Amino acid sequence: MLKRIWAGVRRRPIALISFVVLVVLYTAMIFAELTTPYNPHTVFRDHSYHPPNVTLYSSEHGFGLQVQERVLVDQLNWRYARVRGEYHPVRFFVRGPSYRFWGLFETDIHLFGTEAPYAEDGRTWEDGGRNYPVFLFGADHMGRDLFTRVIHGSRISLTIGFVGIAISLTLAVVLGGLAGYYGGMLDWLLMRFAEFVILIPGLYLILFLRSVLSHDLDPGQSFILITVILSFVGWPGSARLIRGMAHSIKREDFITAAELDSIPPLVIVFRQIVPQMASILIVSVALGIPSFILGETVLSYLGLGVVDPAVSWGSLLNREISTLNNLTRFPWFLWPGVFLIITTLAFNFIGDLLRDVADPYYRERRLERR
Amino acid sequence: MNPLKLARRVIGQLLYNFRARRPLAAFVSGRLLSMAVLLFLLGLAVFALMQLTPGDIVENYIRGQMFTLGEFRQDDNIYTEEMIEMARERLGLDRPFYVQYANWLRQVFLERDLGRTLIARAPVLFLIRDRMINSLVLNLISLVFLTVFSFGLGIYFSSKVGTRIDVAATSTALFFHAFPGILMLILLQLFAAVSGWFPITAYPPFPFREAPVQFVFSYAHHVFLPLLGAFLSGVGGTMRMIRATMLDQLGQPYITSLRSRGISERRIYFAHAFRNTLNPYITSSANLFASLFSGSLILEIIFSYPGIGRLMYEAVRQEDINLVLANLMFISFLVLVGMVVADILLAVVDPRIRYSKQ
Repeated sequence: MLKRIWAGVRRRPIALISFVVLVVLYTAMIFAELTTPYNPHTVFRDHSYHPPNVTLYSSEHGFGLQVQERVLVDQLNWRYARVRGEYHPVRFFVRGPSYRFWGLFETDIHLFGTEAPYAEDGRTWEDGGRNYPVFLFGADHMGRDLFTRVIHGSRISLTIGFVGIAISLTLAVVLGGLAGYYGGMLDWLLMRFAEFVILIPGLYLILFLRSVLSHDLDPGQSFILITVILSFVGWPGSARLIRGMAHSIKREDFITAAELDSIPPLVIVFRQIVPQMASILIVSVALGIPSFILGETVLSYLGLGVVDPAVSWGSLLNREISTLNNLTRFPWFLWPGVFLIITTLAFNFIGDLLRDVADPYYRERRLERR
Repeated sequence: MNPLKLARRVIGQLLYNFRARRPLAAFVSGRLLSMAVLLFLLGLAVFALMQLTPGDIVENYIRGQMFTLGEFRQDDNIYTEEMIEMARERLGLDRPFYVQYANWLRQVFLERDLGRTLIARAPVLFLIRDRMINSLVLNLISLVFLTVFSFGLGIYFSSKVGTRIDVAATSTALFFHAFPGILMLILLQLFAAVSGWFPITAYPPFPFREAPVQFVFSYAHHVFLPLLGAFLSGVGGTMRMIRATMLDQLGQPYITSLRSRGISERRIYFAHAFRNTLNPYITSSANLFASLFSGSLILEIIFSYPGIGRLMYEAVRQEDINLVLANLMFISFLVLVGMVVADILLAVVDPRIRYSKQ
């Protein structure tokens, strides 16, 4: 398997690139407090809708990452003007707002930031003031750093896929495996139920469940609720696939042997049949994750998913903030969308490669046509 | 003989004769029957789910009615336990869910009335009818384009398999398939706003009756970009599927035997291989139809198209459970009809189906 994956990667390097990109994204997510210059709720007053201000070159500091100062010139339309000659180099591992790293210990080291004091009193973060802000991706409507919020938002957006697929695939394996192995009445009932869930257009079902289930939830509860709803809508497709496979594997000789050894049926299902489908399951994990990420995004975009104070990519794209007007004037509001695209594409490329590797007929078909 | 047994045998014999003489009609009626059963069960499940959380609905109802109905009016805008009980009784929520469901069914079928929305007190049927037609038109156009193009492209690229252009086409298809649909729509709307070539809404500002011809052109102009978005996210998956089934078919022995008899390549493609790709496509087209409705929900919201998806969204935002319920039932009904139509089409196209299901 690994050998064939490697051969596939050699033929399609984009899968390897996708993998590297995902590793970077997940690393940034795990160390979110460190990799971002501020906390997601650090507000810079009078910096609402501030454009990205990192540049690569200035006559003062030469080449290198630096921040150009801007002042607010138009209060109504939030227009900013660059201040000539006011550059602050970007430094690494600087002090910023303090946080509890993984909830373990208090620290205030951030991966990057400026060391220039901000505002008139000349104090830095340590003395209770603040440094001049680095807005890698600009600032949002309340003057919060968008880069910080995107990375912190990935904590929900990137994990909901794994949690969701874990729940829905467990359901699918248990129900599909049992239905396929036992057949008969149980099979009929479970498969009719699965078709029943499939036939309702997914988003309508999700919206209905969302409207029936409780509304006043704290962020943690709504995260769980969204995941459960999405998994409930997601399981039948893979359950049908797994049921079909279990149905055909059941006729193999080694299953008969196991039955003759009077191994209990449940053990046969989970120790003998399910491992046979490992490659298919891996593929459906890779291809299923993006749909969960997108499901959460759609819900949060509509304002029915993750809401303040929690952050996710969908809630950053929320339609009440990323209105058409705002997007045309402040195009950096699309950055969460860019991350979303990259993630879904990466998972799909990897999943596509894995599917080709897992499908034994694929190679033969290729060779035959050549 | 026991009369019950006799009746069963007679009915069974009748059914058997019916099936033997009119296989297609028997098949269709069987599908329709199962559709009715599924819809009935869906309604039951929905009402049972609603039973779980009636509190929200009632309080929402009271809040909505506080300013219009005299008996709910209070000086301090605080509602009491008695009022909650009264509202619950008025909404019929004090009864068990199957009774509520039976009442709802009676109302729908005998009085042709879906009730009124909880908040605006507008008749639901009136709200849904126009929106339903709008959504249906949009999704049918989308389905037709999707079908035509994915067949065209799928067959074309299956004949080019292994060449560079095929690799390029399949990777492009994968790209669009993987591209998040919601962002595609947002970007297209942004494009419309920045370039000014297309309107940013998806529906003409005047009704159809006013100027039918003008309306059609205006509609095409308005709906072009959103449909393009839906098309691009949909075509990748279906095209890849058709290409794969085409290749599967072309690898079968019967194609080789056709080739050996010197039948032209064109005929092999269109008369033989193509016909066999119809089968899996029609099977999946009901699911495609359902997913089109899901996709058009976002489309309708972003491009403010007056379809059923937007109605659903507004209903959910206002927590108007009557409207949500009616929407869900209607959309499932539509999808079920699509599924049954697909099944029947399949039976017409492929006679094996209707005989094998006996």
